Amino acid sequence: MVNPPNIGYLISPATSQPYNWICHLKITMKSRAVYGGSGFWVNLPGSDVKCILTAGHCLFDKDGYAEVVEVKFPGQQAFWASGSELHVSKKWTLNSTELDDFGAICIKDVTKSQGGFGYSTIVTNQQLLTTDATMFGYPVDKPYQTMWGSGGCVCEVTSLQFMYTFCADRGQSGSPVYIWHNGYVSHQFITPLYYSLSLFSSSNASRVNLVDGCWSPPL
Amino acid sequence: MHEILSWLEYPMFQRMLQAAGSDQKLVKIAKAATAWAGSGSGLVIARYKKDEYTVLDFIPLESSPGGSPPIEQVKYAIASNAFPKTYLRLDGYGLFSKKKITDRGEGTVNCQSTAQAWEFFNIILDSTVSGKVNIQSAEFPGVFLRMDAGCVSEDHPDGDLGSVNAQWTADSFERFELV
Repeated sequence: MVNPPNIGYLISPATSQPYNWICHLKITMKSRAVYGGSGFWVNLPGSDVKCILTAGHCLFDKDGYAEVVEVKFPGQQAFWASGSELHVSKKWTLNSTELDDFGAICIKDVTKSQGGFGYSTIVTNQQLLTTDATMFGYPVDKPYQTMWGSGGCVCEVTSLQFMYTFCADRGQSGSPVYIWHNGYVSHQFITPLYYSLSLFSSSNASRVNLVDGCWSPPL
Repeated sequence: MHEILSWLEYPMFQRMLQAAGSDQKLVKIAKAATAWAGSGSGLVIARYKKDEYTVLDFIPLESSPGGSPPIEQVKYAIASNAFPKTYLRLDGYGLFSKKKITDRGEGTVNCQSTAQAWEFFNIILDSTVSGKVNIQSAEFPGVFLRMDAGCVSEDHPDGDLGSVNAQWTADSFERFELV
């Protein structure tokens, strides 16, 4: 699926997999400012804790962690997360650079989770550069809590980031950018909201790697 | 991913690799990996009695949506809990080519600063002894982590270079407990 930049698909109803693993976040910061964001379940077999991955800046700003985050998955009632359920990279709390812009909402109530994206840290750069990627989330310029997305090529890969040829809008921070891997829908990235104002309207995303700055896929 | 998994109680887990049936004869990552090197770096040896360098992080590298694959199909990186960016590395190329058992094992087990193919392992349930496991190289199927636990004791707690290496197929020296 390859689309011109900025033209996306509306998913409605979004109650089938993998769309029902992608949630809308209504984030209330300590300053009482309210923002919209996105996140997604990641499947962790055997874990007692269920994990929603998102962008670090959706959970943590200059005042610290968000006061409360309302989490709404398609076709389900919203629930709230706060306090020790919110996590961001330690490096994000110190430096807030885009490379470390990842976070997670970890929840022990397993009834709130119904599967989630798989993940792989073993996908090579070459595989990424020859595979179309897809992203869905909740842009704020669209009707409230409606899911939109698009797809396209991964045009450049580094060990910590990749650049893609489709655009993310505000509110889609924390959306999964995913590929089919070994027959599975497999998440490897999250999409912080960083724009590269190049001719190709490319966007950047942090890779979720084995270890921060340590994983170097074969070229 | 390492950091994300560390926020959870599972699936990343911390254990020691103890020779099956032994009393605290453990795999020890004694020296950290330096910068990436083709031949690896660091030092992996046998150890009598636990210390801070015998604790290992087992990091699953893949998951699939909605399913829970058998543990034997999951690839793990095995990292030092004491040293950052230090992963167990197994060079089993020679053993895999020959596909023959050698008396004292062969190959090289040391460390690498990143986890790539030679640093991926499968945890195989031992086919002959219940509750024990074999650590198989994912890159060289049939090649297993081997430890000569007889070389360490109360008087000689740290084993020598080569006390941990590799073997073609798994037998008693390739049998471990996750403790």
